[in-house]
This record gives sequence, C-alpha cells and structure tokens, in this order.
Amino acid sequence: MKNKHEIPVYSGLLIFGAIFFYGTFKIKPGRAATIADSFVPRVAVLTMMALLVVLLVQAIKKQQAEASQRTPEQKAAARAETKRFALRVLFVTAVMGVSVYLMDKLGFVLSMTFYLLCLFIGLAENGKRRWKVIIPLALLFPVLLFILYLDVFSVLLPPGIMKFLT
Amino acid sequence: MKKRSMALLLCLSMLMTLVLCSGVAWADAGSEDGTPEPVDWPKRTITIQTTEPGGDMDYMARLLAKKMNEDFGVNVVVANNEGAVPPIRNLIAADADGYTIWMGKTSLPIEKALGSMDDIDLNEEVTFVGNLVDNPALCITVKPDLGVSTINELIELSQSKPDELHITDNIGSNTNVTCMMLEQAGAQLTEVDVGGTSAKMAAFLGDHCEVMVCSYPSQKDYVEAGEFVVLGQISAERNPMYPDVPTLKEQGVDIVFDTSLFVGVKAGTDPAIVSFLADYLKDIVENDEEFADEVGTAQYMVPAWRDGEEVATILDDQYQLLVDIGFAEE
Amino acid sequence: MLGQVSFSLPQLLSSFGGLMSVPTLLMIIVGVTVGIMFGAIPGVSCNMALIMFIPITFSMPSDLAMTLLLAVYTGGMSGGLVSAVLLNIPGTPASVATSFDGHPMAMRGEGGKALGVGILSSFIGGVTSCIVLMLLAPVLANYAMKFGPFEYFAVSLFSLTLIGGLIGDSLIKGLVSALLGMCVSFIGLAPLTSVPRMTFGFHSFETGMSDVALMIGIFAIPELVRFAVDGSSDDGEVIKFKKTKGFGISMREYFSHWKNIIRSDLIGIGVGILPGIGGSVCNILSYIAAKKSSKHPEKFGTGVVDGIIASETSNNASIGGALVTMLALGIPGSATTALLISAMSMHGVQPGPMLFLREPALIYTIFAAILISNLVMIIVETKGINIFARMLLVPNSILLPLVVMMCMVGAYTTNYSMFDVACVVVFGLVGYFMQCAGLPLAPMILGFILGPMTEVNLQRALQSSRMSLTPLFTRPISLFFVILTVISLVWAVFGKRIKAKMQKRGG
Repeated sequence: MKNKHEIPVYSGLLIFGAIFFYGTFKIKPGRAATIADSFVPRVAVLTMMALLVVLLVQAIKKQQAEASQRTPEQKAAARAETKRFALRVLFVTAVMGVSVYLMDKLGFVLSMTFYLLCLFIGLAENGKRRWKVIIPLALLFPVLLFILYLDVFSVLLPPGIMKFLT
Repeated sequence: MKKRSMALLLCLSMLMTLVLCSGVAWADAGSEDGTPEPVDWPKRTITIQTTEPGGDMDYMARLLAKKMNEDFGVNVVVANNEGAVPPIRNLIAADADGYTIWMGKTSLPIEKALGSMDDIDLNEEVTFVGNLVDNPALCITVKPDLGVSTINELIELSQSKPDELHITDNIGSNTNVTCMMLEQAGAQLTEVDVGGTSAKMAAFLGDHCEVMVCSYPSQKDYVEAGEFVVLGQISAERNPMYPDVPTLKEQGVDIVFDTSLFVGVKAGTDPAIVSFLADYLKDIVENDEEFADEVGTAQYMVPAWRDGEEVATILDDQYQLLVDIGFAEE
Repeated sequence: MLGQVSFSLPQLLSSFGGLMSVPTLLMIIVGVTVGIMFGAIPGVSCNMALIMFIPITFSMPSDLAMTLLLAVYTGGMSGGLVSAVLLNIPGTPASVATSFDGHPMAMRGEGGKALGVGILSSFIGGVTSCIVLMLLAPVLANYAMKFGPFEYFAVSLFSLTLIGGLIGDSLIKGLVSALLGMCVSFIGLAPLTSVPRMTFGFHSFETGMSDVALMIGIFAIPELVRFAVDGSSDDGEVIKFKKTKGFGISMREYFSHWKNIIRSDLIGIGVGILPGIGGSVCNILSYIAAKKSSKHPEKFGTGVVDGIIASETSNNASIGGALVTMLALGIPGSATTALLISAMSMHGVQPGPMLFLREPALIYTIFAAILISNLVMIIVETKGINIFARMLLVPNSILLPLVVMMCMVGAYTTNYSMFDVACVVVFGLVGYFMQCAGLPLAPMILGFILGPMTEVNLQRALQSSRMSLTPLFTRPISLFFVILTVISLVWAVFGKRIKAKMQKRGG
C-alpha cells in the first residue's frame, strides 16, 4: 500500500498526543506509595511525539521533492483522486457514525437495518446491485440477530424504541 | 446464482439456528411460585446490571436471572460491567419501570470514598429493594513457617521487624480497608498491591508476600491441607460453613468489615412493583432451601434478608466506618 | 502438595473410554463446531459461546460439562484463522499474526493451503500443550508462581522491544504504533490508585478503551473503508481458490518446519501459563521469533507458511498453558479461564491442587476431553476448508458491512456499553488512516496489551521493594529477561550493521 496522506495522519496523531499530554497534568495524586500515575504515560506520549516529528519532517521533505517534479495535469489528477477518496471515506464514516448514534436512540434493529441498507447499496458497483439479496438481508438479519442474542445468549442488544421485541 | 444462494443460505441458517436453539433456552412459561400477581409486571425482558463476569455478584445475578426466568416466564439478561459504578450509571440511565435491576455489594462506600461516585446521590437515584446474602469475609492468612498462629502474634512479629513482611493488597477494595485497619491496630507490614483474588493467591503461593488477605473459600483447599494458616476473618461473627475459623474481633483486634449483596431499582419505580419484587426475593432468601444450598456450595454465601431501608442504613454506616478509620473524607 | 501428583497412563486411557459414547461425542462435535464458528466471526468470541453454553451445563454432570466447555474453547481458539486467512480480518485477537501471511497466500489462490497449515498447526499446538499439561502441570505451576511484579515487568519490557522485529521497513513507524497503543491503553483509571487519567471528566472513558474495538475493529473497518475507496472488484470469484485435498501441504513439507513448530509451541505454553497474557500476545511474539530465526525473514508478510505455523501453533498451545494455571492453581489467567472456573464452581468443583488429589477422574476426563476436542477440531475444520472458501464468493459489499456489524455487536456485548461501539468506529477509522500512512497495526495491539502490564507491574514492583529497582537485577528470572531485553534492543538498533560485519568476516 502506498504511503499516501502521511502528513495529515502524523499531524492528527501529534494533536492527539498534545491533548493526551495536557491530560496528564490533570491527574490527581493517588494513594499508593509508588511512581506517579502520570509518569509512564508522559514518557510514552513524549517519545511518540518525538518520533512523529521525525516522520513528519521526512514526509514533508518527500512531498516537496515529489511536488516539484509533477506536471500540472498530474497535480490536478492527484487532487481529483484525493477528493474521490475523501468522499468515500466520509460516506462510510457518516453511515457508521449515524448508525451508532441511532443504535442508542432507536435501537439495534432499526439502526443496523439502516446501516446495512446504506452500505449494501452504496458500496455495490453501479448496475450490480443485487436487490433480491440486499433488501431481505438488510431487513431480516438485524431482527433475527436481535432475537437470537436475546433468546439463545441471553444478551439484550439495545432495544431502543422496539421494546415490544424484548 | 452461487452468490444469491450464498446469501440465502446465510438467512436460512440463521433461521435454522434460531429454531434449533430456541428450544434450548426458552423459558418454561408455565410455572410460577404460587403467589398471585397483583402487579402487571414483569411482562418483558428484565436486565440485571452488575459487575464483571465470574465474580460473586455476577454469580448471584445469574442465579437470580435463572429463578426469575423460571418463575415469571420472561427473559432475564445479566449485563456485566467493569467496576462497581458503571452498573449504577446504567440503572440511572434506564427507565424507572422495574425492568432494570441492580445487583450491588455493600462495599460500595469504598467507591464513594475514592471519589468515583461524586455525581451520584444514591439515596435520591436508587430505591433499595433488599439484601440477599452475606458474603464470606476476608481472612488474614500466613504460611506455617512464619511461626504465628494468632493475629496478635502476627502484629507483634511485624513490630519486631517493621516493614519487612509483605501483605497482599488491592487498592480501592475492602482488602485495602482491611490493610489500613490492620495498620491502625499496630501491624507494621509493607503493603503490596497485587490485584484481585487470583493474583493474591499467586503472590502468596509464590512467596512474594508473607501475609495474605483473601476470602476463605478461595484458599480452603490449602488450609485443609495444612499449607496455609488462617489467623482470623474480618466478619462480626463466625461463618457457619467453616465454624472453626475465628474472627479477629474475638481475638481482641477490632477489625470488622462485612459485605453482602443487595438489589436495587431506579428511584421512582412504582412502589407496587418494588414491594412485589421485595416479597418475591424475601421468599427465596428465607424459604428456598435449594437457593441456600446453591449459594452455600458455590460461593459460601449465607442467605440473609434485610429490607431496603436497612440496606440504605448499612451503606451509610459502612461509609461512616471508612470516615472513622481515615479511608474516607467526611 | 502438588508434588505428590504423578501422571498415570491407565487412568487417561480409561477416561477416554468414558467419553467414547455417541451422545458425548456428538456433544463434543457440536461444541467444537460452535467454537470454530464463533472464533471465525470477527467480533464474536468463544467467551460468548461459553456464556451461552454454561447455563446448559448446569444440569449435566461435572465431567460432561467440562468436556463441552473445553470443546468450545479449543474450537474458538482455532476458528479465528479462517477469517484471518480469507478476509484479512482476524476472527479473534489470537489469530492476528495469521493474517500477515495467511491472507497473501489466499490472494494468490493458495487459501486452501494456508487454512490447512493453520488447522494442522492448531492441532499440533493443542495436543502437545495438553501432553505437557498432563505430565508437567505441578512443575509448571510452581514455575509460574515465581513470577512476581519484577518478572512480569521484565517480560513486558522484553516483549515491547521485540516490536523492532515485526516491522519490515521502518522501526520508527512500528514504535510510533506501539506507543500509540500504549497511550490509548492508559486512558481510564490508573491501575493501582483508580485515579481517572486522560478522561477529561467523561465517565464513559473511565472503563478504558474497549478491547474488542482495538483488537478486531481495527482490522475489520479498514478492510471496509479500503474496499469503499479502492472500489476493487466486488466479485468474489476473481481469486481462484484451488480445491484443496487434505491439508494442502505434504507432511514432509510441514514437518520440515519442526524448529518453528517446537519454538512456537514452547512460546505458547510459556506465555499461556502466565496469568494475564495469553493467545492474543503469544501469536504475535511467536511470529516475530519465527521471523528473526528464519533464513529468509524478508519473505515474511508475503505469504509463507512459516508465519502461519508460528501463529497458530502458539495460540492453541497457550490453551494448555492456561489450563495448567487454572487447574493446578485455581487461578484464572484470562476472561475465558475465569468463565471455566466459574462453571466448575457451579458444579461444586474448585480447581486447585486439591483437585488433582481429590478428583483425579475429573482431571483425566479433562485431559481426554481436550485431546478428543483437538481431534474433532482438525477433522471438522479440514472438511470445512472448501466450505469456508465459499465465504470468498460472497461479495465484499455484503460481507464486509456484515462483519463490521458483528464487531459492533461484539463490542457492545462485552460491557453493555454504547461507548464501546463508538470506539469500534473511531479506532477502525484510526486504523485505516494509520494503514494509509504506512503505520503498522500489529504493534499497536502489542502496545495496548503490554502497556498496562508494564506499568502496573512497575508500580507494584516499586511498591513492594520500597522504590528500589535492585530486585530487577538480583532476582534470577527477571535478570534473565532484562538481559534478553538488552540483547533485543541492541539487535533492533544495530542488528543490520552487526550482520553485515559478520558477513564480511565470513566472506
């Protein structure tokens, strides 16, 4: 797999590291006679951030070298590629995110039916959508799974508004 | 053709599994305990919120789930959580309809002392239903080669070589409270946090600690084989299941920390449901011999019914005890 | 007390006889099959299957109850290899390393061989560790007891330094990944003091980040996102799956890897014995060890059977190890063994040294049950190779969303927490972006598991020695691992130079 998007990823992780490091200062002292609870996390996050900076610098240099060698057509193609990439990632993220949110409010069955429908339809190639499989699967699978988990495993998946199922 | 049949196969096999297995777990919807049902409850799945799987609370929750399933014909699900406080949060987040029950332990004031429950006012958010069983108390154990056979001898030995002996600890638990009280009774031991019961056993067996604080059932075999010596337990009275083990109190060392398991529901639940549930549980605790047998054999617990108000009082008293020994701030 | 126990072959044989009835064998077959199914589906673990079966075992006599549960355990530990090979998504954390070489092999059309090798390795690991369990349980149990916090700290440090051996191109990237895993593992309550760390006041963070999210979601969701982005062919039939005879590999070729097999076996047993570490760690350690000892380490990751052998032998071998600690000492080394102990106590059976003395019949039934389960497992899985392969025929646009859904379910059912489900999505995306940037995922898992272990044990060790690090160097076992750590670190940093120098001298 080509290492694209290194710079945003490293930057994102550095931001995480910074927030994490800030968090270590809010740790209250504890009751045990041993090293501080903030010690090991700080060592870990600072080491990680130091290494990330090294990687980031390397990536920036590499990108500058590549950019200077590219033709305008290549740059435009790269931008279009990035846009396509972002849209698709956003689609999957949005579907998953909304489904998780709905799982709490509406319940497992409804949210997962929505999730499956979105992804089955959205991911299949145009013209190859197997409606006869997608629709029954998306409608039946979550509800059957819900009943299976409840009656066989004695596990209650989020019922949400469908309390009558329990 | 192949792909469609694959997906269809998936659906069919799910259905088949469901049909095959449902015979296994389906409740016998007929049998009830004979008491007439004055309330319209329970009619659907009940969830019991409790702590980690494999522990004593989990065991009790599953036992209760089984009984309620048999008696009421509804599904009863045990929801495990990590820690003593998440189940309470889940209880508070649920509806006050009696379909979410909390299985708790009276060592909960320790959590309060640690500050992990500062945003929860138990008396406002929870209605206590009743106490079910008393837990076997923690014991102070040593190996025979240490040369002590009473708690007072241990305290004296530790004073003669301060901080040289190690005691198993588990910070934030009743073991921690015990170690603290032992220290206040004069013992000079180095506390080593090791973790839960199994970790304590491992540390003690591996000679990393000379003194262990652990409940009797976990070490019973070793005691009977003569490899462990139990100096005493921290309950108020001896446990009828192992009557030869003395309490620390009767040896003159006033360390008492009993724990028991209780049930609670969300405050605001219909009082009729609460009293129905309380009567049902009280009947099991006081009259069901099979229940007493099961909890005794599996976990050395002793059935002991106390009503909801008493449970609330016990929790307050436990907290006061923690304040008195300096574990908690007022 | 345990010193009085010795192995008796006649008793073992008579226990076999006791299990050789049709209903019992059927029960074992069902148990193993269910275990395999649960292991194969990412997000669903054999713990779930055990929780389902335990109430059923209430009414059974204790020996049959244990037989069924052990059958499920055996199947569950092995089943993870199926999806690891075919989908590049490990079914259980114990099969993470299997996907490194298993999936490339499947992509080349050698999926049958990959599965066959994995199954055979699972069998060998399971049976040999059972034999070790039978013969040496008391001895090993005593050895396990010698591990205190200093020893665990040294072992964790050593394991962390091995990360250098995992990564092909960049040590720095591997370290970043591992450190990220460690940082994430520290979010929650501090190990000893239970003080909230990096929770920013959110109560949901206090229980820490979900295990399932990190160990399964992080492999499953990137597959989904990658498929969405690449838009690669949805048609499963593009990759030809050669119909496989038997294991897909000749016995001669398989056993030519005998060094790898034995080493992975020992790693699995050794790690399994120690409470707190098990299948999820030993498969990765074993893979690294195999790679480092190999004459062609650069081939690892491209699809060589060595990697699969290392991973699958050790994870099933860890069962034997875990059972040593569970049976001989009554100490649960993992959530799975805790469930088994809980099941036993419901039958009034308390695992521990007295079990060996008081109920030898049960112990031997357990041994026999494990051996038979392994036999059933290898038969069921081998017959199933061509059936599993059909999974490849299901279009990715249908299969991958379903798998991710199961991960979400798995995350929810562990702690009944919607927060854990959200973790799956978040970590899944993080995993995808990490892969985009070339950051490897496996070190993150090691960091996530070993981070807390390192910190807890360091804290406990210092507490017991009153802030002195001396015992780390004076206690024999911890000194041993400290030396290994130093060697490993030196090799990781200077290894290539040392190798070049040695080659120069030789040439």
